[in-house]
Amino acid sequence: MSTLELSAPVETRELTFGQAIYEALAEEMRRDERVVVLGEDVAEAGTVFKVLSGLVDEFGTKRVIDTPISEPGFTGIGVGAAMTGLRPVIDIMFGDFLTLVMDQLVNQAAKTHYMSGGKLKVPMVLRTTLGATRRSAAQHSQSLQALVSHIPGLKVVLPSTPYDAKGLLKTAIRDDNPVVFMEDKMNYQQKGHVPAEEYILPFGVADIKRAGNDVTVVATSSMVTVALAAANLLAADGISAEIIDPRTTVPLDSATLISSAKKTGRAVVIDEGHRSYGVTAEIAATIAEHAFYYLDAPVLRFGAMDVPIPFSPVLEDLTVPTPEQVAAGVRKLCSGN
Amino acid sequence: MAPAIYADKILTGGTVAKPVIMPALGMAQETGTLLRWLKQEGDTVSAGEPLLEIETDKATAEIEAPSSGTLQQIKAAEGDIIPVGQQIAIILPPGEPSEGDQKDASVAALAAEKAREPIINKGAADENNSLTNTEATERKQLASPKARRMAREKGVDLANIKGSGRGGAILSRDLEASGWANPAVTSRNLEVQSNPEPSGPGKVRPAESQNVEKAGNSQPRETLPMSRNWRVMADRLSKGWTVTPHFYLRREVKVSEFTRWREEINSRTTTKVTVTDMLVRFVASSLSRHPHLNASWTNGAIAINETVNIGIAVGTSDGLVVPVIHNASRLSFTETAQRRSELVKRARDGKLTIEDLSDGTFTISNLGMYSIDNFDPIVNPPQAAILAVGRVIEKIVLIEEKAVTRPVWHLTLACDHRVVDGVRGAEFLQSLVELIEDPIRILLYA
Amino acid sequence: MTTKEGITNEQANENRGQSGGERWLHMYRQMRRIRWFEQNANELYLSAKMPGLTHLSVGQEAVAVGVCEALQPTDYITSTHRGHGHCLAKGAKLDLMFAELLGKAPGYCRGKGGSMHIADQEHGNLGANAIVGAGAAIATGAAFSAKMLGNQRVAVCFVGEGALGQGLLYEVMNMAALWRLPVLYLCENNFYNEYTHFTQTTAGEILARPAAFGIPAKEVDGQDVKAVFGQASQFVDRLRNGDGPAFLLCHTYRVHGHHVGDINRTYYRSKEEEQEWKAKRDPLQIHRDWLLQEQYTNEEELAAMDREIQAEAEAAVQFALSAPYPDLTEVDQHVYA
Repeated sequence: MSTLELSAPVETRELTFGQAIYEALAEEMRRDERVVVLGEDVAEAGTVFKVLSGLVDEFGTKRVIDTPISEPGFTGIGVGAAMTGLRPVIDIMFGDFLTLVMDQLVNQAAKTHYMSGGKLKVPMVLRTTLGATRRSAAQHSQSLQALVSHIPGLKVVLPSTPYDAKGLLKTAIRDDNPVVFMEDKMNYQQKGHVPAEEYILPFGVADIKRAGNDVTVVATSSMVTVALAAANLLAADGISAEIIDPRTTVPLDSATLISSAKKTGRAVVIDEGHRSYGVTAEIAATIAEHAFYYLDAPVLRFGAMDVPIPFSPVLEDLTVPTPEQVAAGVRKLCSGN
Repeated sequence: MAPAIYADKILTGGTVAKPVIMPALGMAQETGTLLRWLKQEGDTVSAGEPLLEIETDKATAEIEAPSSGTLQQIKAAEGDIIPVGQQIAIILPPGEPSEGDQKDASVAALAAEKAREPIINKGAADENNSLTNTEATERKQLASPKARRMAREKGVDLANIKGSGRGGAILSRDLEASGWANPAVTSRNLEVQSNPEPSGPGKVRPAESQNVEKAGNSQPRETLPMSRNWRVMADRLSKGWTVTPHFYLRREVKVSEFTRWREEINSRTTTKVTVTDMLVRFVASSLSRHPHLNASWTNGAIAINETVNIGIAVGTSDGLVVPVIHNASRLSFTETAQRRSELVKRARDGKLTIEDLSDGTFTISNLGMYSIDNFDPIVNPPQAAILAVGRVIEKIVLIEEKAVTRPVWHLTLACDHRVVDGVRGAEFLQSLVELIEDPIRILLYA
Repeated sequence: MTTKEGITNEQANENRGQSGGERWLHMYRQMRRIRWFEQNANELYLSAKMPGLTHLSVGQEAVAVGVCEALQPTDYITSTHRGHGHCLAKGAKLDLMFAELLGKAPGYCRGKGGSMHIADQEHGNLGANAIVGAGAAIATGAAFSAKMLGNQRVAVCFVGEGALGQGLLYEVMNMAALWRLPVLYLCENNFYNEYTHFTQTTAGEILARPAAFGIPAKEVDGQDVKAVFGQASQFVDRLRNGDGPAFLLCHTYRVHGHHVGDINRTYYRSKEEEQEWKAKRDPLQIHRDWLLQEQYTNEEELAAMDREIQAEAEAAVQFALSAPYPDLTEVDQHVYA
């Protein structure tokens, strides 16, 4: 059953994506006093996206800490703090700034447990954003999940709904590994049903957002709604699309993706990172490798165009996959041509 | 009408050569198919005049000439699938000499032929596929991995399935549509014929489908399932027929001595030496002395083969196969007979190996046991010649005004005129006939 | 027996007991261990028994020992690529360190870290770092967590003067000062950033840098273990009082090349200079002379100590040479906790 339709006995309420993030963080901070939040404008301002508004009122400035504009610095402090008893949640405003903290993530956080022969741990969460079409231009619009998914030692989470976001963030905070948690900045107002009762969602478990028979569509984060809209267009043509949301690229639930591809015989992968050398390439290769003898068509990838994201709205909107493009591509795939 | 897209829209006529490219007419269009040239190489065209017809995603469009001048350097042929944006010709402004004008005709022809190498060539034969026996047996059919697996699991020969995917690829739906509950006819499913099997080495009647409608009916005819071997034979011999310039030399040969010798040999050995075996031996000996007949036309040159490898044509249910007796000039009669016997058995059992079918330099085809008087064979490329043998005919001759019969054969030697001329062919045939009519001559040759 | 060289063993013992000289003798012992360790490491490399490279700190023993003697076992340090001395001074054992250098299973990191990444969690060593300056963030993070958890621990961040070129150092000094974190930035100036004299790479004054953040800073002769210990102790007290970070600059000298393979180095450092420091500024010699002068020990005791430590070092080398490599199945263990 897709997480989009939670069954009746569970009491739910409608929350926005942003509210779900807040709840997860607040619950974990209540549960474990070692959880602290560091980032720019996280306290009074509640972050530029207002997701954490009110957090500092409950937990105080000792646990919700405004930092200088020093991403490498406070991320590195987060690593050191995680190694010595705290469970920091670092806020990096825009995923584009992952570039600034790459040494902290790649050379320090990701490798400490391994290099110390298993003795030291880095239970740190780095929350950041992805997604274009905000008219924020090239340095504030990237979706860089491929960069961090590539690094052994990191876990990467890409929730697409409020329900997924809350459950996965709680798991991230409880995980003893460094976790990069990526939120679609265009999606903070999206509403969805979230249980009132506490729950967590495991990593490495994909969610079938829509069951289907004719084609497997794997979509991450911001592309899940695109895929669902494309599925509606395709349904009108009699093509039944199965939409699978991996929810975490590391660890990846390849078993679910492969078994779906074996069932339908056709697969496409959609991610908002650039099309080349991205998350879609890894997932497509995994499917092609393990479902090869069941494929009736090549595995296709849809991603952002291989260009820096432009500012002008007419150009920016071209660079991101749309439901129409996805549907057209799937139609062509199913026709056998 | 869709305008041709070209680099420089501002100049409409002018002094610049304009490339003609395959246009993108729709979003996410990657290729277009060239349906038809409306103008030819060298024609004068005016800007805006329809130049060619293309097809994209089920829509057909006429493309206009982007400028005035002479249409040159056509790089694509009708039926080709071309990526969007790729140049397919050029329009040279009036007065500008075309590159082609300055070269002589043969070079222009070569250029034109090279220009016929398009990006994707639908359905054309692969000119470079020298269809030797080895390569001819493996011809890949496009199919999706799923279709291949299904076919393998159900024992279906993909050669019998029509593909609906891109480039004719077979998809799983094509297998499902083919009603694959009835797998293809193979040599194992051979029908037992009511006629007794004719004697002679390795003769098996071709299988026939029981569902063939008589010609002349208005009902659709059944398409015969074709085995891979038959397809290969068809392709190879089409090429032999269309490319090789054939000529034929015919000799009537007296065979009484030949027959006497054969009987003599067979009385002295346990291995049965057949007519074919002796022919192979004599042909091999003759080829050693006439190397031009043991040659091939390869890449525009005559290549003399070092060894004499004689193929013997064998009919099977799957069509013609030509297993090869390698190094035939070094084998004795009995060795030849043994080898021939092994090959024919393997042919009959469908177990010929790639080596068995490789490297033949000359072929002998004997239809005498089918009562054929004589016939004109087709040279087996890349060999230079093939010998056809008919039945023994009792010919009536007058000797001193008395009628006597004399057993004769009609031999027909078909030659590739690029490798063998009439004289050489005749000289070879003379040597062979001398051996057949007077077998003791074999002792003269090593 | 009283000789011209000094006093009896008994008298030495008594001297030490009365005036805390135990500590000074212990510091000599620690420096001696480091010296023997480094010399044996050099031998292992030159005789092709050690994989990879290592960076020797012969000549810098007083800095490591002087600082670490001012710390508790539970206090944290981060170290650099030239970190054997820090590690040993903080309590590591010779045999397990040699094992790590050789990539053997009993090593501190099960052979997975090597010379540049030795960590000894038990003694608060959060690891040596091959990224210049990166340890600064981790140490500052450790100080952050110590303050947050209120456990009275402090952190010392060893950096070379080369790290003064890394922006990260300034970011974390800024935050350490802002938040009054208990971290001591210990800058070992051995005058050479690898192969370049530091005056060619370092503008302005070193001490002006921490001063810019309001961090109290001092400099000492790094070859005098007493001086280092004295100033470090003062700063550690400050840290434990919660008065904020501090910066200590120690001038010292590495007698060997940048790494074990850096043999032909006259192009950047003259033999005369090296001879000068070896002859006149050897920390072991300086301290030894002082101990004898103060009559805390005598030649006989020192000789016995030397022999003892030499034997310990050689036994440790043998241990490491005959220790097993990690099982091959460990290659993909400890990627994730």
